[in-house]
Amino acid sequence: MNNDRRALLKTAAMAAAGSMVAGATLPVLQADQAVDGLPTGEGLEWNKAPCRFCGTGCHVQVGVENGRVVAVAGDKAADVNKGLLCVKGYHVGGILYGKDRLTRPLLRKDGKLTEISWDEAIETIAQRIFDSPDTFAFYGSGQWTIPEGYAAQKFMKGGLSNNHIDPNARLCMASAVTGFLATYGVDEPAGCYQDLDECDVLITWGNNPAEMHPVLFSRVTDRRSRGEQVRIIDIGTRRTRTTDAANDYLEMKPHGDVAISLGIMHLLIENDNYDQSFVEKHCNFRGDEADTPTLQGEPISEEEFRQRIAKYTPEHVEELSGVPADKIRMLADLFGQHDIRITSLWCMGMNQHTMGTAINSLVHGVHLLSGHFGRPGDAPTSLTGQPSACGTVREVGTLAHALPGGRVVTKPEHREQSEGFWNVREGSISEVPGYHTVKMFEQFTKPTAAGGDITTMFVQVTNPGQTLPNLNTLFNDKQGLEDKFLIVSDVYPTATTALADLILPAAMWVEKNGMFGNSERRTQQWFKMVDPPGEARDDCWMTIAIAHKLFEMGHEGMKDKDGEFIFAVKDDAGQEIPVWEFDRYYDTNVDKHLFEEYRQFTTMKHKNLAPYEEYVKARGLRWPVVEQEDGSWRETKFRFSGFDDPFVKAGEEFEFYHSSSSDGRAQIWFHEYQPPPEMPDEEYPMWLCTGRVLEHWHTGTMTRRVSQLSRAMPTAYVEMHLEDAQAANIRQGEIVTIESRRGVCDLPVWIDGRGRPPRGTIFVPFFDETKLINNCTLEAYDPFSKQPDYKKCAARVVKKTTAKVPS
Amino acid sequence: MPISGLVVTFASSVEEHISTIESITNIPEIDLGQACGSKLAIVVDSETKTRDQEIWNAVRDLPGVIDLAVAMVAFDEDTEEEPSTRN
Repeated sequence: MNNDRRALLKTAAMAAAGSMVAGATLPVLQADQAVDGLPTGEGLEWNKAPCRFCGTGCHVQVGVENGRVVAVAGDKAADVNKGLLCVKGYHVGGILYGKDRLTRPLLRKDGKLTEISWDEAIETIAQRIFDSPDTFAFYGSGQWTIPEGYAAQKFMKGGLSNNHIDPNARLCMASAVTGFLATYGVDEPAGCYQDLDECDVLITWGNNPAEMHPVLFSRVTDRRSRGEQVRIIDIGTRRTRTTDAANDYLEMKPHGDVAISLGIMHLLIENDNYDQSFVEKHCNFRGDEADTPTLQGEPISEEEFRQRIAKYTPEHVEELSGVPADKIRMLADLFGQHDIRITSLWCMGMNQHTMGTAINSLVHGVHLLSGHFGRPGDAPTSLTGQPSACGTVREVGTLAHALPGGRVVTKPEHREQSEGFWNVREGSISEVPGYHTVKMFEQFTKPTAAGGDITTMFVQVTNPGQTLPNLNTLFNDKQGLEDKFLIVSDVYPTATTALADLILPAAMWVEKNGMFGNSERRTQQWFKMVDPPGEARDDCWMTIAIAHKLFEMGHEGMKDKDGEFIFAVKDDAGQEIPVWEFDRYYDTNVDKHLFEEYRQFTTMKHKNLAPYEEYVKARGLRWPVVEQEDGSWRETKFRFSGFDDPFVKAGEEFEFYHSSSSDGRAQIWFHEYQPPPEMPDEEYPMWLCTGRVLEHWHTGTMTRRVSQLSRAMPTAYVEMHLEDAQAANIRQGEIVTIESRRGVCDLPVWIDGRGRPPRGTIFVPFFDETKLINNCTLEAYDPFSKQPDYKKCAARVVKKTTAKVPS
Repeated sequence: MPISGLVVTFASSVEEHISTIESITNIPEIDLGQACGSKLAIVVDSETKTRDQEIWNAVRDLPGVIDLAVAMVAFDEDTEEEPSTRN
């Protein structure tokens, strides 16, 4: 290592440590320029955009000079982040300028990737689809912008009559969706980030916001520096940076969260300490059907609920969860206090869970039973890991079973409505749900002759070759299946492009127009600011261009009822603009056309959106956004609460107006504890948990191209407990092989590192494409959400080499 | 070789642990950083992984130290990523 680099690393290390000391754990950088005080120079222009990473939805000011992003500043006008950015956000501009951007379409010919023209690329894709439309699948993303996802959704379901479209968000927040649906009859959190400013107690359930949503977490910890009291209770399977800021740390066994929530509800009932008034007015009790459980469940009486939950005594919960009984009592006592405000936060830890729907429902139930709901600071809130997991996946509905605006393909009236909005022929939309992610890839990697009925797959804006669980089965097995054809649109070479037959270079972030929807129902908009490199093009354009090629080939689905192209855009004179030609794509704002069409879908589930131009003016607006008498548009912070939600009946304190029981009530669920699908045993004695780190965003495709972030966290590692390491004669930094029943992965060991797992547990971040930990993980999934469990499977650690120590 | 940004947490305010801080100062590979409340930032720049582990163990075993956390580590200097060459 040269001296300059060593000095840089020492400086960075001191800065990171210093920020933890001074800022109560958070390496958050304060942008020092106000929006109206940003420096200007000849040719330097600033414009707003939401950050490209995570679901927080921080706004940044992007400085552009000579056609290049040269600066990024936290946006002080943004309510979400108030000028703050985390280390990833601070470097978000750098993600455009990695040296190995993909710039030309590449087709694999005789095993070798060969540059081809865009015309050939589009024609190749259209021909594959035309020849076999039913065996085509579209795999998308929570990183799709709203218009991108909407275009893909319309292309598949309205155009091809094919429901095989699913997103990577199936892997990160599907259980949150089903948890909300089961509880409230409609998706997405009722509260908002203001809850973090007003809660007295914050409970993080298997959640590490100090690293994964650092700007949000700073809203809580910064309150302490102002002298406010806020108690943080961290419930988790390993100590993290969030634990460092917590007043209480409750270390649970994997799946222990289910038992803990049942234990809290047991005590609230047993001690007659629940909010009887709230429950009587606003809640029903619900349980699984005995034979075939459904997401709706069946009604049960309060007495039946009492009987079922009776066995979850603190002592029994201690056995199941490993959390001491007195800590369960402490939690129940807190929820029993109605004069305090309690906010729960969760993300992947609860969602990537074979009881994902159940645990989501149970935590909602804890809040409902105790009445800690619907007041600022009282909220059960799931966070999202991708910038538009909510806006694109959940709201536009880019899931195998869904249609835009909360509709589903299985309901005839929903299909009819959608066909009406799209002006496509009656019966265009298939009533059969498509394949969810795991099934989609199973069918793609299974030989066609053996029933693998997905033969062509188009992957946009995501990297399943690194993120799918059990990669050897679900992705790597595609190799050698000559009749399968993988199309990948991306900005950099990835583990997915490595197996692609056709690679399309994509524009990213401010190289195109876009809209995202964040975790607090906030829809945000930005404009294109710079050109993409080489021949990289917008993903939305790719979808429209393929659709138009099919239209030219005579595919009936690409014509609407009037015989026009389903993505036709006309100018003020009524002339069609050929947006399928890339050099004409920006003759108009395609995003605006698609968004205004999509807006029609948003009222059925009261997710009303404002016109596009309102989002141009704002740093996002939280839906439902409703027009006022004076013509202005008002956002909603607290849904279902009469004081703020315009759709709650006048005079009602609360109303769950999409109740699955059609009586305006939310459902308090009982679910029986079930053990994890795979448990450590003699052969594989350790729990393996995977996750993320502060510096890298998901698969690291973008952040590993930013030298500052890559240097700060250059490689994946395995966190081990000191005693486990000593017992295996493993020392700090030595390389070990992680083995599971599905695969292996070699990693350096980090003992007492940033995260500190308990004995018998190891943790590996998944950002590093050179160390694919998902070769080891399990594809078992939640029966309702179909979301796999990345947080717990059985593994063993085998010492590979001994570090050579200089004498 | 390893460079780590660490946070030492003492059982009480940093000012009450002068002798322990002197012991830390006497370790040549350590630079002291910011202190606040019961926490002290340090950077360890050692020549070998063995020495890094020795320092880690020594600091953690000092009187009054109740926790040693890592804020940042750069222990894999040979793996600085070049852009992927997958294709």
